[in-house]
Amino acid sequence: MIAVSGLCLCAACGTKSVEVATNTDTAIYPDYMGVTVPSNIAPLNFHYTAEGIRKALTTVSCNDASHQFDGREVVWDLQQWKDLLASAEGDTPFFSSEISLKKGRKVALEWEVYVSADRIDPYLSYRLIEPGYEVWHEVEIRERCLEDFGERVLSDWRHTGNSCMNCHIHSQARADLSMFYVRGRNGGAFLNRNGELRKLSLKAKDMVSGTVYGEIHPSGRYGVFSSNIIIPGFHTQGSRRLEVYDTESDLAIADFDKNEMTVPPALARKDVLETFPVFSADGRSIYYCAADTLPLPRDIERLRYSLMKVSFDEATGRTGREVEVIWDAEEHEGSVCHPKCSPDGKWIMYTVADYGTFPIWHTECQLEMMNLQTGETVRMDAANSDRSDTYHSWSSDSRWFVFASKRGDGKYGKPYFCHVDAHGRLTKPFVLPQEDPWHYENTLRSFNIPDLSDGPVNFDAETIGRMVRETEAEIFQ
Amino acid sequence: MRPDKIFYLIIITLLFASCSEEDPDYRQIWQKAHHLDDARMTAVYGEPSENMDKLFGAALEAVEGNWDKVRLLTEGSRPSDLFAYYHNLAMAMEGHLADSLMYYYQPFERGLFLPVDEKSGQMRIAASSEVWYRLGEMTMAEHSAMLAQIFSPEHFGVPYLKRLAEINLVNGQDEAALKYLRLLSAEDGCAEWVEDRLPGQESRKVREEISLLRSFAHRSDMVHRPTDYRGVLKSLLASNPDNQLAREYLLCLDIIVKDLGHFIEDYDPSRDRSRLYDEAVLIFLAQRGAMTPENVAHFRLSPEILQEFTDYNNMVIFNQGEMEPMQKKYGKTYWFFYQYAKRNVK
Repeated sequence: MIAVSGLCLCAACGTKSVEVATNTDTAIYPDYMGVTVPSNIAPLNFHYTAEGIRKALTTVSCNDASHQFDGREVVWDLQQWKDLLASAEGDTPFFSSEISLKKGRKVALEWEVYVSADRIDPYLSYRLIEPGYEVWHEVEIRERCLEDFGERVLSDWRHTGNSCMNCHIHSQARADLSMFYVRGRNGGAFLNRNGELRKLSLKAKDMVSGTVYGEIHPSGRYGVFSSNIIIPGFHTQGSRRLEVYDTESDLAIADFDKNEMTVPPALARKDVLETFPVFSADGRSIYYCAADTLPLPRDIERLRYSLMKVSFDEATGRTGREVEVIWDAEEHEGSVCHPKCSPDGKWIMYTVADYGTFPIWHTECQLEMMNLQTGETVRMDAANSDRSDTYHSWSSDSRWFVFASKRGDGKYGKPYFCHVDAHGRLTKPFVLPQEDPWHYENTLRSFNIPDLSDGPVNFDAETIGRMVRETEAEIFQ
Repeated sequence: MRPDKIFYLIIITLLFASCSEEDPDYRQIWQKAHHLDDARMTAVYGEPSENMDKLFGAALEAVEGNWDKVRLLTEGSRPSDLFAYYHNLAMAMEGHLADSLMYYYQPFERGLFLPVDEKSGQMRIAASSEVWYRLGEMTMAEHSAMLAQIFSPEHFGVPYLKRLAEINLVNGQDEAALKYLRLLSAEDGCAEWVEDRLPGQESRKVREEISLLRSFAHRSDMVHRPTDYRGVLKSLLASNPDNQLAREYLLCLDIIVKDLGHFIEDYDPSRDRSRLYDEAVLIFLAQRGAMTPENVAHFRLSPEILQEFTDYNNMVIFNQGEMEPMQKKYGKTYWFFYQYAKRNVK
């Protein structure tokens, strides 16, 4: 990328100004050229990235309709955009632009956007946090409507005494089945199930800590969780930054009806680190990641997690005794984390890094998918970048997934959406549209753990704040 | 007078005004750099005080590398971790850390490095990046700068964005640097600073600084805890033995935490010369009953300092260990610090 700048002296005030062009590896930012979008997505507002733009004229045409935009920024009227998408479903609106630059240079651009008939679940929740990760301050979890720019706060520092809060996850993108944590003295796991919001203390005496990562069973009765002793460490080499590793970790099953925690011995071995458990789409299996214990942090680069599978009996809430290796870390010379099954039961998607269990700063980490019917792995080159791509979640129809990517500046995670067809073919992903086309350049916060849902959840920050203050957490035995 | 002459006169007057010897209004600069109104400024940092003004000044001048100003602002200040930290860094940047160490309040390792967490005060968090950056330890520098931004009142501060831009330039991560430079370009008075750092168009001075810091980069990787100062300094020195700042910080860290075993391990008498080091060596040798002619020669100890050490010990015996008379005569020696300085245990 070439940095370009212009410097001028403002004669009136004597102050200098300088123009700094960013993201110049693409002509427009966000880069919506050639992407596939769902027919219910919010307007793809963008700006041209070139330095020294004098004039820009953008024309968007589809079927008989045509729209024109004057200037560096292209910002849609919401209704016009919705009309365009309604007429363009399964079609490709055509974008063309003529840009006048300084010194009389002119640039002409043309591109298409494919509008898929597969609609995306209309809500996305995420945690907004500066990418420090080891320490938090004034964190919030928000829910965004993907069909427009509406956003609301689900839980925030103001209502919770500046507590840390962790990812909000939905079971199979269901708005009526989700969970997140508020940490700290009056915190707990907040379970949103069938219209009821509960505050739970998911800790039992056999667990190494409270619950950390996990997922809710499709029936809503159970949760599977890891309990981890998490240690942060810093790399001396500047580009590798922070490593987070577990010195102990086990799995546990929570029964939300009986308020019971069970620690299955096969999933809580002292010589094995077990983490990132999820249920299969039909709820009959648990997938999780496991690695042999090692002296850490000394041997961190040898710490590699395999993807495992164990059966789960919904009637009894018990796991099977036989554990199966689905993806062998030694064979693949990598480490797997964050598995998530597609709701249609066909795919399991996960992140692969060279080592470890915290791929946020691993530039080599990639998303990968496995066909659960054939066991074949699918490379996801169309979705992956040269920066960390991780923390994905599926839409309820298994045709879209969202993931956090640090592509571009390498520091700030942004939610990207990608279409996947029945054969596992992917399209070029696109970043969450924002009303302000400069939003991503201006923000100093990461979008952390983006999670799709089929509707808005039934709580807000005030409800959570009140429960933090007034509700005792239900104890699990 | 012609209008254009009046214009030039105003410009010249303004230029002179900006070059006057008076200290800038650091509080106001700090306030502006953090996008705070008056009420918020007072709520966060209290009413104006000389002490806070000096601290704002030290923090702002350190980011710009104006070490003479940092030294002046910290000299004679109220003893605190933060003033000691900035003073030590200024002295180190001017090549005098060891020689000056005992002439300033020293809160053990907290005068060299500032461990930070969510409970640390904002000024402490804001300061913690500085030493890491100057040492060439970019991971810790970036982490600290990020925390400084996170914990600043509006999650924004020009000094932190500058530091983040610089770190990414040193690391060769231009896209991230450009993000910060672009944000800075919208801030008053930053245009020239930004222009000097645009990737590929850096000023000569900036290019040289980046090149120096890159030469300090760790050649091998390890994962460490944030307070493993010694481990990080050893790694920096293994990567570049000419990193004189890391060398001085390592030796002074050993000394200030009274870890003389490690000090002797790290110390090279043919290379590291300071009276402070001689004083530390003498304690080490005396403790081990190793004051042999061979050791005296190896550590290049002069007859004068041997005599002074003998005098010191005689005076301790004479005064039966009482601190006050010792402080009067030997208060600026490491011998005194080693014997009498106690950690504040909260």
